[in-house]
Amino acid sequence: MTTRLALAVLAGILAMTGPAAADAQELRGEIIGALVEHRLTVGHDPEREFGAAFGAALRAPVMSWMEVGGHLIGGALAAQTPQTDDRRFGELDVAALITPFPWLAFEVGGTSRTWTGPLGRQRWLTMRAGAEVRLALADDRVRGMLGGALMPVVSVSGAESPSVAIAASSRLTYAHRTLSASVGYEIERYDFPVSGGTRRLEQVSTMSASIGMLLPEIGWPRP
Amino acid sequence: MRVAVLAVVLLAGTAAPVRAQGNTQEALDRAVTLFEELQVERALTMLRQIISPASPYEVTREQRVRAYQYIGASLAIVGMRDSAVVYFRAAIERDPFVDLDPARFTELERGAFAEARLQLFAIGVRPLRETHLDPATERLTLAFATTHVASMTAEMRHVGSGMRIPLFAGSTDGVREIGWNGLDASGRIAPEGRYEVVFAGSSLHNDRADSARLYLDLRHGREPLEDTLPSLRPDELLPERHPPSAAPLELAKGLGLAASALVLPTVVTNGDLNRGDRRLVTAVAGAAAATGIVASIRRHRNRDLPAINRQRILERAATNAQIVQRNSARLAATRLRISPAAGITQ
Repeated sequence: MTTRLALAVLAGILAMTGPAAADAQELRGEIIGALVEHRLTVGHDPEREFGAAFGAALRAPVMSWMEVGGHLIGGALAAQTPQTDDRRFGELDVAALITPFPWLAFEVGGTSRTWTGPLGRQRWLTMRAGAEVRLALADDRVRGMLGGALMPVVSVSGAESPSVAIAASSRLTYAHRTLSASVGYEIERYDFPVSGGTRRLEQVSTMSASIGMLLPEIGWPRP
Repeated sequence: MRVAVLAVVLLAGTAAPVRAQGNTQEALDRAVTLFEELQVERALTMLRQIISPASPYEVTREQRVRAYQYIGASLAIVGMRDSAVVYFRAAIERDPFVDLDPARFTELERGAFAEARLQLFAIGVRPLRETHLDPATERLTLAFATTHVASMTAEMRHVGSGMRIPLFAGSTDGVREIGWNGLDASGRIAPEGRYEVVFAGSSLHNDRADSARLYLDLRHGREPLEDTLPSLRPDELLPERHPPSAAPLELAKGLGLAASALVLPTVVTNGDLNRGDRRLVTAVAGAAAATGIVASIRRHRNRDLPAINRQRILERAATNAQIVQRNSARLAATRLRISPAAGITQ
């Protein structure tokens, strides 16, 4: 249900930004490959899964100082520790980015993520707000980024919401004419409240690489 | 009642000169009729009464010239040629354009008139009327007359700058029309302002000389012209080379980004979960460090900035060329408004 809602939100945002993106001819599509590590502990030794994921992203400027985008990614993680199950996951993310200065951006976004294992399926819905600092290198052909975000709203099916939910990321993007490539790292930390004398801790770290290009102009219907 | 009385008085006051001119014109017309009916003596008497200083009626310049003309003709008929010449001269002095119509005057009268024209030398200029002129296709016509063959020059003088535009130079006899296309001596549209048109000549028959002037105001009718942009001054040019500190700065940015990427998991992660897979973040940090090193080496080898100044200069030149083109089109569409003026009052 939450995935469908998130899909509808993404479609709505892209529909709204369509004409502006077409005018600016800056609708950018990306193909993403990622390595994902998931760690979990509920009072005993950490469980660890690791695997690859693939997906795609779409970004579009709405105004000169605002960009919206989203990505869809999914993959399978293999257990790396004893007594740990393999998992599959799918994730849909939408975000709006405001850049008041070339070196600073603020982001709000939401993610719908589903973990699927032998014991069932668990849905996560998170809302986040964060900021990122940008650094230009090599005559602005390379951009470095460091960011952090708080996730004040995290809804996990079948579990309490975490009391601590934060994320941090770093990214390097290379641009050449209409092509771009980026490599980045992101880590998410979720600390759940103590329950029955034990505390559940989760962490997702992702190293992703993507290749993107400006998409040809789309003939959006004009109002 | 008082208003009515005042109106009657005013009407009586304005009617008097009109009536006086009317009397002069009626008397002149009667005299001309008598002249044409060959009642020359009666015509002469009436004409002399018209121009007499004792006449109570106002006589305009044109009426006086016509009276002199018919007195001269009448005197020529009665055999008083010398007196006829004197009156013809009086008419010609007042209006050099005056002439005797061969259909109405005899050879005898016209002979005396021609002698009068030879005896004096005068230049006359026809008054100007307000005119709108397209310099591309139209010309302003200026008419002048000399009493007999003469060497003439005509030129326009801009009152403000003293610039001169020659209009005519050569010999002429009688009435002549010259045209002006609205351009100055260099072929550009003449500047706005007041002009004095000077007609000067000297007789080729005797040693007399004369001149005449008229004044006109010239205004341009067109969209205002745009100013071109000034050239870029040296202090307006952007740096063309990176400073020597650019290469170390690139290195510092790359290494700083790498270090920050490495620190992130340490700060964010929960200690009970260890730090996560360090290989993932190390890959990103390594890419950042490598980027900084490569960018630094490239900057060290080549400090030239993209040719921004050259591009700006070319863009400015292109803008100025467009402005010049637009101004040329506006100048080409210029219309001149020429109106008579009273003299050099500016």
